[in-house]
Amino acid sequence: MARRSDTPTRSEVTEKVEKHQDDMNDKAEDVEETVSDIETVRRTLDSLDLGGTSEGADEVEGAIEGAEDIGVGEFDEESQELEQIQGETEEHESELGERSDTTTSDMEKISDASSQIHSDAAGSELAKAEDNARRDIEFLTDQAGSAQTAREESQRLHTEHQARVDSGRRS
Amino acid sequence: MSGDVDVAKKNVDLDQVEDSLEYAHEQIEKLDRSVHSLPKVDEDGNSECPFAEELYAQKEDIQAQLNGQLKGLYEKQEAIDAENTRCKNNLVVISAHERRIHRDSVRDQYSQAEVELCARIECLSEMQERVTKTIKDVQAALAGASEKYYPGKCPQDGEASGTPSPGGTTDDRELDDLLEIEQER
Repeated sequence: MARRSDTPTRSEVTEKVEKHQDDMNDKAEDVEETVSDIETVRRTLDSLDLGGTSEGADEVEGAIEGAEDIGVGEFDEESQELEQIQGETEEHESELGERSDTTTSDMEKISDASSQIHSDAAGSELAKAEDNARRDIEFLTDQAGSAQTAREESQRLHTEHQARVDSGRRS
Repeated sequence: MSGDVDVAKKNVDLDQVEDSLEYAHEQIEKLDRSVHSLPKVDEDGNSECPFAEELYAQKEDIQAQLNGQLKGLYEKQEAIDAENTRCKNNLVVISAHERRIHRDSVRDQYSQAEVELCARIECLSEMQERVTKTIKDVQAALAGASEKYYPGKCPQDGEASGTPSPGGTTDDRELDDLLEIEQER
C-alpha cells in the first residue's frame, strides 16, 4: 500500500509524542515553581507581625500581597499554556486513533483480498502488507496510549497545583 | 516599661510623636520661665513678692503637667522600640523567604517591601533618638524645678525627681542623668 505524502513517519510520530511529553513536563516544572512561590508568599504574609495600620506597615503588606497577585497571575498564564499543550496532545491522540482505525480497516480489506487470492506470490505480498498494517496499528496504539498517559498525568498534577493555589486564596 | 501591651503592639503614629515632642519642649520652656521668675522666699515663707505662693503653685502645676508628659514619652519610647523590633523581625522573615522565591517578578515585590521596612526602621530610629533626648531634657527640667519649692510644701515623690519610674522601679539611666546635672551645678 502506498504511503500518503502527508502521513507522518513513525519517527515523526514518536518525536511529536515525546515533544508533547517534554513540553508538559517542562511546563509542570514551571508551574511547580510558581505554586511554590505563591505558597512562600502566603507563609510570609502569615509570618509578618505588622501591628495594625501605619504608613510603613500598609506598604509592606501591599508589596507582599502584590507578590501573591503576581504569582497567581503567572500561575494562570502558565496554566493556559499547559492546557494548550494538553489540548494539542489530545488532538494528536485522536489523530493517532483515527490512523489506527483507518489502518485496521485497510488490514481487514487486505485480509478479505488475501482470502480470495490463489497465487502464492500475490498471497505472500498481501500477507506482508497485512503484517505491516498490524505492526502499524500496534505502534499507533502504543503511541496514542503513551500520549494519553502523559497527558492524564499532567492533568492530574495540574489539578493538584490548582488545588494548592485555591486553598490559600485571600478572601 | 509602662506594661501597656496594647500600646506596644500598635504601630506608632510618628506625627503624633512629633506633636508630643513639640509640646514637651514648650512645657520645658514654660517651666524654665516659671522657675526663673520665682521670687525669693525665706524658710518661714516670707517674701517681698505678695504673689510668691501663687507663683510657686503655678510652677508646681506646670511641673506636674510636664511630669505627665514624661510618662507619655516613656510610653511612646516603648511603642517605638516595639515597632522597631517588629520591623527588624519582619525584615529577617522577608529576606529569608525572598531567597526561596523563583520568579524575579515576585522577588521584586519582596525587594520593595524591604525598602519600605528599612525606611520605616530609619524613621523609627531617628524618632527614638529624639524621644530619648527629649526625655532627658524633661528630666533635667523637672530636676531643676524640684529644687525650688515653697517652704513647707515638699514636692511629691516622683514628680520631684522627674522620674515617674514606669513599672515602679527607678531607672539607673535617670539617676545618672540627675547626678550629671548635680555635677554640672
